[in-house]
Amino acid sequence: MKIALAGNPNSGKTTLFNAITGKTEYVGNWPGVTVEKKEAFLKNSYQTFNTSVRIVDLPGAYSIAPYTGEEAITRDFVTGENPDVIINIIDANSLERSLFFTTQLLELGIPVVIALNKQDILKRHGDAIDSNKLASLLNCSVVETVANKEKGIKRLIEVAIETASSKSIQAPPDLDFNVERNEDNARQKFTSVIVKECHVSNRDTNEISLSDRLDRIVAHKWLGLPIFFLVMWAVYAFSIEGVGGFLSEYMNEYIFGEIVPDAANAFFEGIGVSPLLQSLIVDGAIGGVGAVVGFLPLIMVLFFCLGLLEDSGYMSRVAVVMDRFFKKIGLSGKSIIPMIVGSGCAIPGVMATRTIEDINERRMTTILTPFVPCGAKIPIIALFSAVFFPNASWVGPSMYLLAIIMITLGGLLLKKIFVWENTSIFLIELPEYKIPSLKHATTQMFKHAKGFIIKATTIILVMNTLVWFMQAYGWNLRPVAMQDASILASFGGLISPLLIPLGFVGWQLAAAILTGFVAKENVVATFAVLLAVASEDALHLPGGVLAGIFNPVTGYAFLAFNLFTPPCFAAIGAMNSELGSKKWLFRAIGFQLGVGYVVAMVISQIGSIIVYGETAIGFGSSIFVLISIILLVTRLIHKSDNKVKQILAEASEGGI
Amino acid sequence: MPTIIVGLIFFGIIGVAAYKSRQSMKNNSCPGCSGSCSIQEKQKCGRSTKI
Repeated sequence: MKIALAGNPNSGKTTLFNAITGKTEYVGNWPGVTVEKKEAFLKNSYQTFNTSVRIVDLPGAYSIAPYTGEEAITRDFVTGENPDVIINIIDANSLERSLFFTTQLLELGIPVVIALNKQDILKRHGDAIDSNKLASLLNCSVVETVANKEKGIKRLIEVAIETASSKSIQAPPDLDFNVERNEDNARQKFTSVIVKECHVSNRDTNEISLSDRLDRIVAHKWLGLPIFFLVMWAVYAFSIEGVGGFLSEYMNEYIFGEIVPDAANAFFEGIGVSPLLQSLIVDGAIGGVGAVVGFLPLIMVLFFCLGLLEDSGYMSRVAVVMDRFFKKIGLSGKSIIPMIVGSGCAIPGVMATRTIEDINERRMTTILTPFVPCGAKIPIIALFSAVFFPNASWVGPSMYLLAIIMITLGGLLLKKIFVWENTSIFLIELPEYKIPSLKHATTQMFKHAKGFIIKATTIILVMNTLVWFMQAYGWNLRPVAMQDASILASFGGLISPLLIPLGFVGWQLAAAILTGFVAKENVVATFAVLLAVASEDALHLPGGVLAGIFNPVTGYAFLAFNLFTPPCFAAIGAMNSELGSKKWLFRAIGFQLGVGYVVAMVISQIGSIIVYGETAIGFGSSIFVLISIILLVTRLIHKSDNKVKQILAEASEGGI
Repeated sequence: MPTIIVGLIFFGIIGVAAYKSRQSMKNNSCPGCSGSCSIQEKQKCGRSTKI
């Protein structure tokens, strides 16, 4: 049996899906979180019949006529894949708007059961809906639910399975298309009548709610942005300087710095394993993976805090605040949703761009979303913060600030090069503020932790074994006495001249950048393998081995370089799918490489002049590179201008 | 002998990790397959999710 969950965005479909399947799919308190259909089997505790029940969670839709890509997925599924029953999740607080889609679902002939969700909020407002009357008016069953508290869910599933088993054909709603020719108007009239009959509101419509009062401050046109920075600062300060940072320091310094390597060394020496294999396992695998896993507590605390923030409803306000800035660069507040999702991982962030209808805005958001610091970049930020800026909580939030600045400037540049005007209007339904759920935040935290550990024990483990081999062996496949004669040094040496204008010297840096394209955490792990083999000094300590190849300014420039250069291969794959053409993918990669390169170069050279009173290494070549890039960009803009002029001339000749 | 046994175990783990990495990279780079979708969906991934 196949049950589809369909409804308006942010009505609680994925919350219901997670509750009845035991999955932990991403849930956010804003519209447009789910952009793909998700499938799983009904969990045993809800299994009342002896049937295998498959649940399909569909992206939110306002209408069966798709306006965006993810709405098309919902339309295709309900019209083409014949689910046995549709559970239509309705936010009881937005009954009239939700019923528009309901009337369309009821016309498909597939049995529909309505889950009248968010009853707790409805009752808190002093409102009520007569669900029996609603059921009789719509000719379908209605069950009252509170999905996030798992109330009414058992009854809902029972009713849905019973309805599906009866194999009945859904009767369409009593819409009169003869009186009202416009179909949409007919539906709206019909839903208005239903709401009048079923909905009892005791709310004073003139009363300003607490949410409205908070929005006057939080979403204020001038105060909104500083408040966002303060919030992010608090989150980072708590994560890095608080318990997360403390536990990470302990894990890096003692557990993976002393206890585990010492125990492994003692064990391998005791059983007489060859020193080469011992070094591969201890320095390569344990050293590399340990350097990344050491940041697990920090990542967990950070995602717990972000989970609380998401669930509170605050993030939707950030979209409103950013809308007015983004409008100036051809984007809108719609672009902020993928960017917020991208702060966890760039892949779902890039995928979330399909909620944007305008093709240019969607492409631009796909290119700019990986600029937001994702979870994989956190270990790099934390490592460089600990080594070069100990006890400074500003480094993490400054990466967000830098990301917003570069998204704005990058957006302006893209708009100039690929001339377009964005005419799309940003409308978002702001969810009411709520006390964030600890369960939601904990689920998100463990989900990210699990993903982090899986990544560390798969791709990072493999890469570090490879890195260890490549730094220990030469091209003749014999161990080398000095790392400089290794395979890795020759690869790094090929790229390192290109990094000189950035003030970065050394093949080790180039090697770390290369492995970072596989997974960003590899940057930390590669440094751990390369520098741990070459030195006894700890990687994570202030003034440690990293201070030998960076100073605070070039270290900060290296952070910026990793932030803006193309993301990992998997995210590039997601970009490829969303951009839909190789031409646009190469443009995107070229743009990201250029931005990362120029930002790191400017920070490194100008920062060195300001902080140390002298230029960094490679100042002369940086001037040459900068002039070349300026000329290239000017040429591209000029070419675009000519193209526009040509189109306008052709249009005027053709009399358009 | 201990070197051979430890080596076999270690490279066995690396082999499994490499296989899993390849699978996850394949899934992650394909939006339709990154969630808990069906095998049929995974097979036609890329076509079914295009806008």
